[in-house]
Amino acid sequence: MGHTTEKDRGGKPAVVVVALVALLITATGPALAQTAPIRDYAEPALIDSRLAVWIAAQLHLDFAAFVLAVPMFALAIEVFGWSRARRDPAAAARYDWMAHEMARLLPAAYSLTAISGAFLGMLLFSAYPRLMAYITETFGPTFAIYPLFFVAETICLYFWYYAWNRLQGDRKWAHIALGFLLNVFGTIVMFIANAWATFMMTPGGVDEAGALVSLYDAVWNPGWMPLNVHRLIANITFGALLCAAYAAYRFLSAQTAAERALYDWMGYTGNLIALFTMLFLPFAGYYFGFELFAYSATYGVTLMGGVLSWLFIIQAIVIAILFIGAAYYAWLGLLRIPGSEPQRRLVPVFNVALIAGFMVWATPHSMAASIEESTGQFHPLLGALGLMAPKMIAVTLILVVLYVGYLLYRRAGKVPVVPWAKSGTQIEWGLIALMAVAIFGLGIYGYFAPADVRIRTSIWQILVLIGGITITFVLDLLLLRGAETRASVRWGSMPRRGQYILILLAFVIVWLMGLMGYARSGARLNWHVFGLVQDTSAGAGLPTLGEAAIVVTAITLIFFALLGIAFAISALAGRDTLPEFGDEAREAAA
Amino acid sequence: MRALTTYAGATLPALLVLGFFVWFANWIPQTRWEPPKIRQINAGASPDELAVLGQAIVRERGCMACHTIEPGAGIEGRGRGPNLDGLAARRANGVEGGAASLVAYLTESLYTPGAWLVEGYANIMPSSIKAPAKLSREEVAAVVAYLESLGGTPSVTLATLPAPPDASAAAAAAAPAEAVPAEPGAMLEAFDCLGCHSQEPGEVLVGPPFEAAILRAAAQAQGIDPVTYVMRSIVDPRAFESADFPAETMPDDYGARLNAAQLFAITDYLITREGGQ
Repeated sequence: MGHTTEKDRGGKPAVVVVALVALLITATGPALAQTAPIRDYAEPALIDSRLAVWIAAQLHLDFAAFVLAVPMFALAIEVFGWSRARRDPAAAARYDWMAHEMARLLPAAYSLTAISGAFLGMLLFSAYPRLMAYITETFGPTFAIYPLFFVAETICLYFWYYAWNRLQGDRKWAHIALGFLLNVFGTIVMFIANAWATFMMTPGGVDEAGALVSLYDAVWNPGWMPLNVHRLIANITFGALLCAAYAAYRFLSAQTAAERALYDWMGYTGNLIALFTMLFLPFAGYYFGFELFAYSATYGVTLMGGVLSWLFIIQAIVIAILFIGAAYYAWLGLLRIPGSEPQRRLVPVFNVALIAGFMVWATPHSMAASIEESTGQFHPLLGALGLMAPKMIAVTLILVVLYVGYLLYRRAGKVPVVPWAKSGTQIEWGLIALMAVAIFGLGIYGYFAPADVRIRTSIWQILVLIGGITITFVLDLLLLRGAETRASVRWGSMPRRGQYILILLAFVIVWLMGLMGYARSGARLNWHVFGLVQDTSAGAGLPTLGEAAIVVTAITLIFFALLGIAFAISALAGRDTLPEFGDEAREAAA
Repeated sequence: MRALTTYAGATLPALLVLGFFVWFANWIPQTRWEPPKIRQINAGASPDELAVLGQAIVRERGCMACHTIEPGAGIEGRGRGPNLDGLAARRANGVEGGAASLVAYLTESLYTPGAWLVEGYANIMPSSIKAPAKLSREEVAAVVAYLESLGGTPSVTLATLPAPPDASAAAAAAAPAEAVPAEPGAMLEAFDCLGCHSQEPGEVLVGPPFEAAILRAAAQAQGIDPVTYVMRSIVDPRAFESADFPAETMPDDYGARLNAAQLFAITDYLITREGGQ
């Protein structure tokens, strides 16, 4: 299988870099904290410090998101396959193959995560010595334990990946336990790093002068848990779309029909995971934004009504492309299913609904381009559509449309056989209609209500959506129990444009991640630590959104260039024997 | 090579979409945000001068992201915060059960915006002396003067601006003045005050000695509180000249040389220290 050669290639650099990171963080930090006097900023260099840190930080975040997310769903797929091992060994082998294939990029990507992290650490400590001395002093103990968990994650990851084929059969449980530990350690590493990042936005556990009062409160600052939740979900979307893009490239270069079928299935699965997690992302983002707003209303003003307000118009467009692209790919998938013509007829309706929803989402609150121009008034032409209530209606109904699309996909090529199929279907669609009406009604009520009531009604809208999806999905599972299959899915018959969409979605999610990373950092304006440590450097301002977009694009391209190298390295390794495909894959995937 | 061409071709749509993002981001209005300017506001600035500065500060620090200035709209404009037009006329007598004057009301509302929340509006405004606006005391006075001009005539000066409501706010208000020495005694030395004013009990050099009891008595004789007396004596030395000391000797440019934080620090020091301490 060629795994012995891969081991040498990926493992050693990562261990060296991990050791470097550990040394840098544990040794340099306290040393800086004790040395006096400390300069505020480094001398001007060839490249602006802030720009260098921005690029390094975003690249590190991108790679970290990938290596944190992939083991999560790859492990879930592996467990799913393992659970079918006795009943259906062929299907189990396919799932195991897919999980392993998704993890294929991990060793090289993990090395790049560590390298970019070390680079970021060195840049931060050299460009912002006083800030880093303060952060180190405040978070000392976490700086000590972070490398330990990082090393633990590294060990688990490399063992999990390279011992894949050895720990099969009776020893599969050990492999799964290793994967579980990998995810636990990875999540802890992310949570620790999130504490530092969110402390800079919503500092807690310190007095007015910034002196540490409670490390617990500094870690569990107001923005910490919302960002943890948001990043967990977003990382999975991110990782799933990158895996789907990897599958798309493999599909396009496949030499055999069997290979094409497997990568088609893998791309479909990646997109499905991404679509599922995308349903929750707007709410996770909303939760994070809500906490930021609660911490300081200034964040709300800066992000939504001030200097960064236009950024969210860009974000809405980018998310629209992401959602519509993912939905388009899913609908293209109907072409794989003979007898899916009734479902295909509804695709244009869905597209119109999604585009209309995104038009509302992308309506600016006001047309102010800067904080000085802000007037507090609404959009001169579109007026109320730029407000929170209509946007909440639009976003939530978009999710309903996507969900309905998925339900129709499940129905394609199937005939329910339960005796209550007709009434059950009517109840199911009735409940979905009721859910949509309730979401709309709550939004209208919220529009006329005071702000505090409006925020509560938006939470009710989310609860109605989640409740509605849960109930109708359970109903759908029961309805399709033992359903008659008219025709098997023709895996590998997906048009090439479907693969282009998957690749496009991967680029778009990386770009979006970069944009939102900039928003999170830029929202602090001229504060390193909001309200405590002011940024008095020459680069304390914010670039224009046009400039920011160019930097974000450059980061995206660098990321894909590096990932391409990782891709090429993984391609050099031996390939697993391809499992055979059967009808079961369709069932499970749907 | 064939695989490379396949990959490049497949990536092309993605690159076009990224290109569209860049184009759109450059097509929309462009603003390069810069940190607020540090303004040097003289302690002796007139209310009208302060109002002009205050208008600029209100624009720069983002107040108008929530508030509106809509003529004739009353208190309820179309913003997240109350309409500021006509504010001075509406609050000419302060607020019932609280600040008794417009200046006191405005100052308190800037320091602790939730103190007199306008009905129907959420308590979302951060204290103006905290991040991100983080107004200095001089800037608070300028904003108050500007707000007074919205339906009234500016009257506030740095000397007459009410003190922050609590110690932490006072500390926060004083904090941004980076040039303030930690020790007010050193400040007196730096501004050459001690060449004429003695700190030793009973010793008279040129001007009155720096003894709290003497200053308090002088304030009482003028019928004003010691803080106002000392501040005004520094900013306008001719205001309370005594026949016991040479006339027109003290330089009259301290109002321009001291910033508000320094003025407050020195005043506080003088009215609390006893001779020889």
